[in-house]
Amino acid sequence: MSARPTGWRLPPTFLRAALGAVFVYYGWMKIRDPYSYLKSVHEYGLLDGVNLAGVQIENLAAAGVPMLEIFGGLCLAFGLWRRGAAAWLGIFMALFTAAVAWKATDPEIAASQANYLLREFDCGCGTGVVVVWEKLTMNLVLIGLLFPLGLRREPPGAPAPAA
Amino acid sequence: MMRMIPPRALPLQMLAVAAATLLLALAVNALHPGGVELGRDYFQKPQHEFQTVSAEEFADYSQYLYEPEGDLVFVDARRRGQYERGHVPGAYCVPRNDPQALEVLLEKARDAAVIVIYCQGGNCEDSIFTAEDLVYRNGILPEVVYIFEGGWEEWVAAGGAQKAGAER
Repeated sequence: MSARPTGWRLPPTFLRAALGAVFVYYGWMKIRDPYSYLKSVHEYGLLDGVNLAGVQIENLAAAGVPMLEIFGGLCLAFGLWRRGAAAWLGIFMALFTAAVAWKATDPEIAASQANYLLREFDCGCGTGVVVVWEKLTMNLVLIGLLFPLGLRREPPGAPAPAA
Repeated sequence: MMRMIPPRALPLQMLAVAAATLLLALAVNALHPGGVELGRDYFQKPQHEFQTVSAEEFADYSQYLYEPEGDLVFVDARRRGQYERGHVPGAYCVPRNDPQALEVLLEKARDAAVIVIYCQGGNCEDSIFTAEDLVYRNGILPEVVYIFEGGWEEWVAAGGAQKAGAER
């Protein structure tokens, strides 16, 4: 396979930085109020009461997930441990997307909003109330971008990443 | 075409990212004024000795929330986003860990004859924490503090009035 011309690299680099900035933004919105985010995590009920060596896993998630988004986003943007960061962000995005899709089936939400895709609720994603189809689409786009922009190896002959 | 990821580099990078994230998260959480205590179960509903109001009493009180004399105060202890989507008309929005909102409430609460606090309902605990903040940390008399345990869910189920957006 022949190497691609060097001119193609600018848009992916820019896109990768933009993708990283999106994750930093999401993380920043959550980390501003850790307790509020903890409540959001709790409302999913997936980690309710799970305790490991005296640490409430919900609390650890409330502290760790926003930092993963911020640090992972910065890694993506600056090319430091880019693939490792993209892999973690992809895994967590996939889990969150499944959780949001499941949460939207909550009977309390369903009772007042019949159309699944148009349901509106606070997913605890740091951006307030979301519409199900918009949030799922956004997450799938982000996951889709993580693979070509974050996980792929540098093309042959390309300059080394910043770190 | 996407190239194969080297088998060793990716796990090592993931390990590095995980370790760095964990260390940063613990450090930022420890320094953050609103950081969470990792070992604390925030959602174990505490026992309380505050007075409670029934749904009927809550509905009766709610009719007087806009009286100019203003010696009756309703407090919505849920998160601000929940409040803005719908709350009992006239209620103050005082989420947990929001000192500014608590300060606004205290100005009103010090002269109040009755303060009724509610949260989401079911097993929610924020109304109790807010009552504890008022009574044990800010000197509000326990005799004037009431909790509506049915909360927002019971209010909505009973067809109570709702108002959306920021109000108080």
